[in-house]
Amino acid sequence: MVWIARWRRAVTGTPIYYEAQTNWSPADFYALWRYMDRLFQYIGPTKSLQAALDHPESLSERDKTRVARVAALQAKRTGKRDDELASLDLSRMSEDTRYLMKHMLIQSERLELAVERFPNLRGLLDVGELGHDLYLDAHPRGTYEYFTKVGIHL
Amino acid sequence: MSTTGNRKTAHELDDALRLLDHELNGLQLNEPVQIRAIGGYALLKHGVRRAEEAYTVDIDTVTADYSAAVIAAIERVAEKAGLDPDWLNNYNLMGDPEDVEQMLDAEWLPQPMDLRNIAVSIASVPTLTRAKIIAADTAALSGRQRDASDLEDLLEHQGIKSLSDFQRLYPDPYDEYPDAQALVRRHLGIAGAPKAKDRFPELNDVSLDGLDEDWADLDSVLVDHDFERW
Repeated sequence: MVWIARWRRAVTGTPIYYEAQTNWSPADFYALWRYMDRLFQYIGPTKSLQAALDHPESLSERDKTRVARVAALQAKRTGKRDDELASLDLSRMSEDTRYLMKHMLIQSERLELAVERFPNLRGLLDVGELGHDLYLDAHPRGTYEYFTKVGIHL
Repeated sequence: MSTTGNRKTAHELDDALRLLDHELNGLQLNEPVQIRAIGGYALLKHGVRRAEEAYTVDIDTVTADYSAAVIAAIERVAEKAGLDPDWLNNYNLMGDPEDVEQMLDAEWLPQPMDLRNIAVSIASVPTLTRAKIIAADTAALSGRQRDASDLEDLLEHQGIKSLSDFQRLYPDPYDEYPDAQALVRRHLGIAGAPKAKDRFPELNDVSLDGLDEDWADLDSVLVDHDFERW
């Protein structure tokens, strides 16, 4: 299936996660964040969703509805972009990109599943501190407490 | 900023739709292909996203699956225009389009694009907001982060500055979307505001069941009139 990823790259040019980041603005990092947020949906269910699916008896009626809605969408996605996920080459990415990816996966409760399903992403486990903050917005709102805590501002 | 296949402006996607319209000429369609855009493309068309972030990757449509021939045409356009192969998709559709429309109380705004084979509509701003409320409410389960950001953009676009305005425009009388409500409270800078049910536990009596709208109204009053003084 890797040929599909190659074809995709041939069609679309350099994927955003491999772009040179010289002179990147916060808006460029915001674009990267949105792209990866979308791509990571295809890895599989979050821990919270999986736990809810494993123990539906613990859910309120309202939560059962919410879980069913999210599970239906997740089922449509899981596995559909495995080719691209399996082709991600961390060595071609900047330190900033790897840092962002790692913390996006932590925040979305998918890091363990990601490295389990895609061995090429195991290097994310070794990503340490960045040494500087990442700005995804020129005027960050601080919407995401976790991101702010790890120096990612949007 | 450079645009790549992973970053497209609304203008570039409009060009892709024109290209698709041309591709569809050969299919002799009985009726135009319907597009009911609800994601980033619709946000861009409304000018909701700030100018420097005015791009998206794809067009999300709330329509039934397209035929194999139409999908093949979409993929041909992707190849020609340097887009992702699934640049036009209905991945966000849950069940029947009609069910989604009913859930969102959807309103679609036809776009005059002078296309022969495609009828393009975009969701109205209130429809987009209701969709993002639902999506943001389940962010903890779905892991989708961008919906919260989009919802905040939509609030700012509509000039919503108070909880009472938000609740009047987007009522949630049965407390169906608590996480989205919490997000809106944080965005409006009232994260610490207690809900009326918590502030007045003595009123939390079974005899008051069924008065959800009244509870919501009381929440708004507490916030709008500075709850700290109560």
